[in-house]
Amino acid sequence: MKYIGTAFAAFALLWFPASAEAHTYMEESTPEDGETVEEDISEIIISFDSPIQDYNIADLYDEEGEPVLGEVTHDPLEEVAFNTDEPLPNGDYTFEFEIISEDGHIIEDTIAFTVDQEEDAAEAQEENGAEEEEAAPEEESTEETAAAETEEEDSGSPLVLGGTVILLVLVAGALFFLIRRKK
Amino acid sequence: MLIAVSNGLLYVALGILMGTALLNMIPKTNRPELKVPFPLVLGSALLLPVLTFPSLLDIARSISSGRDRLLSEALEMVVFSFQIGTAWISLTIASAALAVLIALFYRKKNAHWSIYLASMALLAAIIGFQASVGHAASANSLIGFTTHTMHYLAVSVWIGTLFVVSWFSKSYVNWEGFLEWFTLIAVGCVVLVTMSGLIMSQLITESITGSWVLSYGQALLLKHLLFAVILFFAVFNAFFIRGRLKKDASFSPRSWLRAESAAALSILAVTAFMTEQETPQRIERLLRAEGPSPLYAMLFDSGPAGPASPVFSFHLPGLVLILVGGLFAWLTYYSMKKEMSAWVVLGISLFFAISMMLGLMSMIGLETAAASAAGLF
Repeated sequence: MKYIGTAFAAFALLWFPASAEAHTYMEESTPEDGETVEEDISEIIISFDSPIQDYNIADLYDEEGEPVLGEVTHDPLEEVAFNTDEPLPNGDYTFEFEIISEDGHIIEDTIAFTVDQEEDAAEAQEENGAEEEEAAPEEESTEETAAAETEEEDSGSPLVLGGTVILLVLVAGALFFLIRRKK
Repeated sequence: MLIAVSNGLLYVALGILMGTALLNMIPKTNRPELKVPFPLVLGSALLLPVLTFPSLLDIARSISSGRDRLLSEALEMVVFSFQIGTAWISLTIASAALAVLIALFYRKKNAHWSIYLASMALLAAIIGFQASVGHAASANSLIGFTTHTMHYLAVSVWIGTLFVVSWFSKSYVNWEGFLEWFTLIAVGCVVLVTMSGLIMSQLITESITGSWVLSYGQALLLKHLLFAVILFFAVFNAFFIRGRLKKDASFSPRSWLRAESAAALSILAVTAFMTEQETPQRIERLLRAEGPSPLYAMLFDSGPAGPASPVFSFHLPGLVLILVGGLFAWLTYYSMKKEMSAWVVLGISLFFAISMMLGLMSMIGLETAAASAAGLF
């Protein structure tokens, strides 16, 4: 009877996981986040610094937010690859993914890239035109952001902060007098 | 939310189990007389697998929604082929063994001390399983796992004993004898908790001060400040309480101990909240994706959403908050000197933690990155 406890203790120690390797983060991706690709591309690869259990989400979206069809593979275990049937047309893309690390943590992230290929002259010109068109709204959007910025700065935050500070000062003061009165 | 709540309850259950086992190992002459409700102890052991299950369920749910699988199928995968599943199965087996020990021996008057030692070993294993799938282990495998286990163990021994003594002791007859060994253990645990905590925050956060703009970092800051609060109570309970007992024989340390365990509970609650937050390993990436924490955005200028990096920036209302925090710290001490009730002292010390947290986090501003980078998102 006396030794049952000791036996249990020894048994418990044996159960300890020998090692707990984990630490998963995206190590690199092709294309990289923010990259502009100037050639044919039909495959997106994200690789991690250690094997991952599985992927939950691996979706590619074009600039309109429409999903792009493709096939996802998880082989080798450190990589998730997304293959489209045809090379991606010019435009901005975002690739969203969510994977499960070896120890069961969910890691989600997004990479964004642009495909900008010079094709034949006509298309290139068309593209230029489109780009110019695009340039104008972009400026607008910068202004909008600036407007949003000032709006946010003018928003209620100083009021909330000021209120909090005053409240805390009052509480401290009241407490001081209450405590001093005792004895 | 479910994960945070169940983790909080898990910490309390582990503390009660650890405290009960440790105190039962100590001879009766060196501890207060205890009456821990048996159903609470057995229930805590039986609840361990239940309280750790929501994390698995969460992963299964995310798999089933992402990949169009049945929830049951996803759950089976998580339990049987993921590391977190293996850890959970091991934990369930260890909890069952612990429940058997409790059911068979804990109600006996003179159970052999090895029973309690075995319970503590099982609890250590359970804590190890939990730590092996925690944030620190996933940030840096072996060091993270080891420090997390140390941290968790030290907290459960120190806070667990405190819980049991403050809530379930019948009298304080052997108080001096109890303090003799518990002060030593508590000091050892505080040293361990501090060291392992510092190492873990280095592993998990890219920059401690920089993470104060994010929910995780703010919670960590609050935790550090509440740690100062609990140390204040611990020092009072370990040293000043003797003088107070000599001066006034009718003085009961109970409310002071309960106040200390309430401070400990608040830290456990903050910790539980942190288990559901994303760890700030890449602060700028998180800022770009999600922006600063809701609390930060509500109180301070956070500018437009987008790429930003945390930098030190002087903030006058923030300085006022820090000074008010200092005032609350002094008031905590002053109210203790004036022999106010422990609960009043605790309340004031919580104001200290909150003011200090707001003041310190206000000193970190967000610097928006160059407009060219902003164009990307």
